[in-house]
This record gives sequence, structure tokens and C-alpha cells, in this order.
Amino acid sequence: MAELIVGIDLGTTNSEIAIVENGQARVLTEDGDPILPSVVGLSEDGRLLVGRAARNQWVLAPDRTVKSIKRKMGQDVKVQLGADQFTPQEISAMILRTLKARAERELGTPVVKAVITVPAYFNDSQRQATREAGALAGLEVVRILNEPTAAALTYNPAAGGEVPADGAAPAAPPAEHILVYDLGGGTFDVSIVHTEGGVVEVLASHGDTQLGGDDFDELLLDAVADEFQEMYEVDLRENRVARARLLRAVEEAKKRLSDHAFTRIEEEFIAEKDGVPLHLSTEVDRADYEALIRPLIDRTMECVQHALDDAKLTAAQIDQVVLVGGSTRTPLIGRLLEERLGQPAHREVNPDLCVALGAAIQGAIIAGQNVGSVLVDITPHSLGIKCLEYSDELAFRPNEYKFAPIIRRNTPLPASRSEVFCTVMDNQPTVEIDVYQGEGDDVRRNHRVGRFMIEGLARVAAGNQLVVQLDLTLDGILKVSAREKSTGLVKQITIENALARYAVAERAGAQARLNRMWADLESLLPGGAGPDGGPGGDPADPGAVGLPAQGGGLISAVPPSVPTLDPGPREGQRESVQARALLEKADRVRAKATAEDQDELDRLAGRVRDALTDRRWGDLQAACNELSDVLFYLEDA
Amino acid sequence: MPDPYTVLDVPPDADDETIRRRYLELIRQYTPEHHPDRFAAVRAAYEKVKDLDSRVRHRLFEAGKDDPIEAIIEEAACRTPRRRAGLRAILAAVLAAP
Ligand SMILES: Nc1ncnc2c1ncn2[C@@H]1O[C@H](COP(=O)(O)OP(=O)(O)OP(=O)(O)O)[C@@H](O)[C@H]1O
Repeated sequence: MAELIVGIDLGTTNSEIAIVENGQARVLTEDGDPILPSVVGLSEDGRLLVGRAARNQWVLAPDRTVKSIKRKMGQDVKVQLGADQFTPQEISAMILRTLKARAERELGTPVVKAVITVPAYFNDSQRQATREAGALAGLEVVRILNEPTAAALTYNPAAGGEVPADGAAPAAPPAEHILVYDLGGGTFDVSIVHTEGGVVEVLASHGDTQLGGDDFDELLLDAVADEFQEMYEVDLRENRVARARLLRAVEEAKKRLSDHAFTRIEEEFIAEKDGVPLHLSTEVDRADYEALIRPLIDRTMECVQHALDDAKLTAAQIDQVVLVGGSTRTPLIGRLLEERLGQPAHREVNPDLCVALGAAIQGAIIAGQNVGSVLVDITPHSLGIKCLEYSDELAFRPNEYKFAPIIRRNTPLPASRSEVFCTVMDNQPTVEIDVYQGEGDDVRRNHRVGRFMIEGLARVAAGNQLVVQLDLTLDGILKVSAREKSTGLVKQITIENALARYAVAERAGAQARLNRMWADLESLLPGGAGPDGGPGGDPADPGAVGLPAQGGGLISAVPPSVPTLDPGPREGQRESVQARALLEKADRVRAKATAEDQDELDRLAGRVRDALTDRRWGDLQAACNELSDVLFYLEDA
Repeated sequence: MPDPYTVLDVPPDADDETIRRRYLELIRQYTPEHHPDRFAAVRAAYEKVKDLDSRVRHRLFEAGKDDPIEAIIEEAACRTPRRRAGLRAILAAVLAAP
């Protein structure tokens, strides 16, 4: 029997766990319910609550309850839960652990390996945080899978049945372009996928990791609270419990508006004024609600257009539009998509379950089960390094924040690319490799994923060539290496380690704490404790996943703009680069200057050199300013 | 650098459709999970020859980067009529390139 690898959709509002059995994917249920609300809480007596129980108490005890933690994944923040503070990874780990226990109870075997989905647009640190959460929950995360890709896998017409082991396609289903529009509780993704002969290729992905049904709730909450405030001069948002009740009420109203043209929101005794209880009772109609959320939906439509452009397709070339995520039940979305794409969208029967099902299918593929699908996924973000750029005019002041992409977005994974860069200073001993993810031309608009120094370079003239290679694995783990071409000196890092949120000791502490809380919870669960060996065992090192493919010789020539690397060390780096450019210029100008001016130039250049040698950055700046003033004057003369 | 036609095991005059079919076949055989190196090689080869544009670029700047331009033109011109249409396309692509 093939190894068991479960699929988990770790959602903003809801999470699910699924498996593939006899070639069929199915979601595991508890008391008939496939959905585990992604809510974690502490009961009054300090016990851990996960799922429905936590969600129910949220209205009464918002300070002992955490929801929508996914929106904080990858951020360096802590959330308060009762008396303690937790990282987003720890909270997510509690949800994962609950799902793991659910599967173990139903299957009667330990569950150790999992595929966990994330929004396609999650960046590197958000993905790392998700792995970290898996490890804390005692799961080896064998793959981080993009949600829309997972959904597309369930939709692959070739999938489902067993196929001949030689990898030949079953009766050839037609080639199709599928657009997957995924709007859940907290995130939005759109992907364009091409399926043909059992191969599912992702062509382009776009999205917004901070846009979802939660935002619709907030907008509606504000509108209702404003109206209430106008009537009674009481702001419901100021009282945590009142706010929580209102939020629950508007979410319910929002869902009703998907099926009805108008609905009422009623909450009795929601506030008090001068000792008199106040009741909330109002009517919302769909048109007003749609006007409220329209700007957000428009943002998603822009992403759809971006994805089409990236895939080099027109709307007419899309064969199927598939809706994924609970929020796509909003009729406005179907309407606007149809307007834009000229065809009705195909609503999945269970838009909230197909991501977990797809994750299970991917798990089965990794486990070596032949499910008739092969997935070719892409990186939705470009990856590259920071470098210096001397554009002609500005040679005087090089752009030091130039982003040089090495792996471009929408490149299929695993990807391995390299570029050649050169040093800018003579005898430059060190270079800093500063790695970013994003599409901005300026690194300051992108997301830093890690950096390191390569030291001990040969003492040669500027222009020493360095080959910077990026290897990106199937689940977005990045390895960066820099090699000095002339000597073969190499330095590399795996960003996974560079970004790990926990020191080893810290992780052990977090794990112990989770174990304690979990033990309390287990004792309350029907059917007793989960299987041994699961929780508390040492979680498999997330780094154990297969290393990226070595590049198939994809070395490109020096890029056209010949970006050059930042010279190290960091401190004073900017000043010294400017100073060097200035000195070169002084040399040029000197040739044409009068003897008197030459003396002046020599004196000022001498001061710049001294400050540079002694690394007096403050003095250097002052000396540079003076020199550049004189140069300015002489150049114009 | 391995020759993409060898990696894909298709003749150098294979058309889009043949190349695409062969690529899908190989991808099913060498999945990214189980044969990452082979998969990457197949992908890279496919990118180089998947359509006329890519093939022209590959012929001119990779396979033929040390050939004199006359040799390339001659090669294109001396084939069957079908290939001569290819020359027009080659020149168009080369001229259109920025
Ligand atoms: N009938 C409905 N009409 C409108 N919205 C709905 C409806 N049913 C559920 N939703 C919304 O769908 C969202 C939950 O969807 P889903 O379970 O797919 O998200 P998730 O997987 O938790 O989130 P994400 O994928 O963003 O991490 C919630 O915001 C919920 O209010």
C-alpha cells in the first residue's frame, strides 16, 4: 500500500483535511461535518478549544479567542490568548493538530505527512510560517501547494481513475484553459491553468493575500454600526462583546444576501444607554451591500486581467471558469466575472472543500499513487537580488536599490537560474547578496527574503565576476549561491534556514507548551487520546524535503544593464560608492582644469581619500560635498 | 548545453504539435516530484523549441551562435518549400526582435 500523505486546507475561516482512497479523494468529517472553523480559544477554566466550540465562545469571550490567524502568518507578531501570547504559527499548529487527530481517529493510523495549501500569492515568509506550524503540530510538510492549483487538480478531467503505469494518458480528454477564481475568508487568488492529457500546467497566478470575505464583513459592520451610532449615539465597535456579536450577525446577513434580495439584522440588548437597553434592528438590501463591496470585487477583477495578460491569453480563450472559496457564493462575483469573461462561471458544488481534495490528490501523487495527474506549478513571484545600476546620466549617483530578477514570476518549478554580476571596486574583498521577492524595479517595494555576505574574494580590479544562482524547489523553498568565477569560491544559503522564525530552543519551548495544552484537550475528547507517536514526537525537519534540481546549464550572459553588486561592508557602503564615483570624475575634470583648480581638486580629493581609508563616514560625506561643489563649478566652466 | 531536440527525442524539423505531444508524454513519465532533474531538463528543452519564435531564437543565438549568418540563411533557404516559408518567418522574427 502506498504511503499516506494527507491534504490540508488551512483556511482563514475554515480548515479541512482530506485523503485519497482507492483513487478517490474525500474530505474527512467529524460528526458528519467536514469543516473545522479556524478558531482557537481558551475556555473559562483555561482549556484549549479548537473549531466550532471556539467559534461559539468568540462572541462571548473575544479576548480568549483567536480567529483569522492566517492573515497574520509570516508576520513578526504575537496574539494574546488568555494570559499568554502566541505566535501565528503556534495558533495555526493547534488547528493543524486538531485536523491530524481527526484523521488519526477516523483512519486508525498515525498521520505524519501532509500537503498543506497556501494562497498562491503567499510570499516566502508566509510559506515558511506555514511549514513551521506544520512542524509544531508534529507534521512533516512534504509540500506547500498553492490553493487555486489544488482546486484545479480536482477539476482535471483526467484525474480520478487509475491509469496505466507507463504514464500514458487515459482516453485523451480535451485540452482546456481553466481560470480558477478563489475568494475565501481572508485571501484572494486567481490562477490560469492548462490541462491536457493529465498534465495540469499553471500558466499564471495573481492575487491579494489580504482580501476576502472577512473584509466584506468589516465593511457591512461599519455601515450598520454607523447607522446605529447615528440613531443612538452609541458606537457598537467600542465594546468588544457588542462588536463580536455584531460581526457574527453581519456575517450571517451577508450569507443570506447571497440568496435573498434583502435581509434583517436583529440583535437584542446589544448595548445600553443611560441604563436603558438598546436593540439593533435594521434591514439591508443586496444592492446597498453590493455597492459597499464593489471596490473590493473590482480589485479582484484587475487581478483576473493581470493573470490573463501574464498567460498571454484573451478572455475568449478561457474554456472554463471555476469558482472556489466560500465567498464566491456572492452573486455579484459571478455576474462581474461573466461580464468580463463572456461566459458563466462554473460553481463547484463544494467551493470550500475542493482545495483540501486537491491537496490530497497532490499528496497521493507524491506518495507515488498514480492518480492520472501531473502538476506543473509556477512561482507567482519574481526572485532576484539587489544590485547597483549605473545608468549613463546618473553615473555620478548610481541607483543602489535596483532589483535584478533572476527567476521571473510564472517560471515553472523546480527552477534553477543564474546571472553574472561584477564587483564595482578594485580589491573588493566582500559582496553582500541581498535577496528579494517581488515585481518592483526598486527593491524597497519588494519583500526581502534573506541576505548573506561572500567574503575573501580575490584582490583584483573592479569587474570581478560572480555567478549568482537561485534554486527554487517545488514548494517555494529557495537556495541562493554566489560563486566567484575566477577562483570557484562559493557561498550559499537556504533561505528556509535564514528565515526560520524560531531558534532551536525556542521551538522546543513552543512545542512543549503546545503539548501541554494539547494533553488537556485530548483528555476531553470523545474516544480519548490520539495515537502515540504523533504529537510531541520530534517533528521531521522541514528541510528534509528534496533538494532543488541542479540547474540544467541555464547560465545566461551578463545582463544587458550590467548590474553590479553592492560592495560590502554595509556600513558606509553607500558613501564609499559615491566617493569613488566622485574621485573618478575628479580625475577626468582635472585634465582640463587650470593649475590653480588642479591644486584645489587635489586637496579636496586627498581629503576624500583619507576619509575613505580611515572609514570616517561623517567626514567623508562632508569632503564629498565640497568636492562635488567644485566639480560642478568646473564642469560648467 | 544539451541539445533540446535530443532531450525531447524529436527530429529537428518537428512541428509545434509533435513537440507538444512529446513534451506531455515526457512530463507524465518524469514527474517533478520523482524525477526533478529530468523534469527540469525536459522543461528547459521544451521552452527552447515549443514554437517558431523559440526555435528561431534557439537556432540563431544558441545552437548557431558561432555560425556565420550566411550559413544560417543558406540552411533555411536550401530546404523544402515548407522550410522556405520558415525562412520568411525566421527573418521576420529576427527583424522584429528589438
Ligand atoms: N453563502 C455565502 N455567501 C457569501 N459568503 C459566504 C457564504 N458562505 C460562506 N461565505 C464566506 O466564505 C468565507 C469562507 O470561505 P472558505 O471556507 O472558502 O475560506 P477559507 O478557506 O477559510 O479562507 P482562505 O482561502 O481565504 O484562507 C467566509 O468569509 C464566509 O463568510
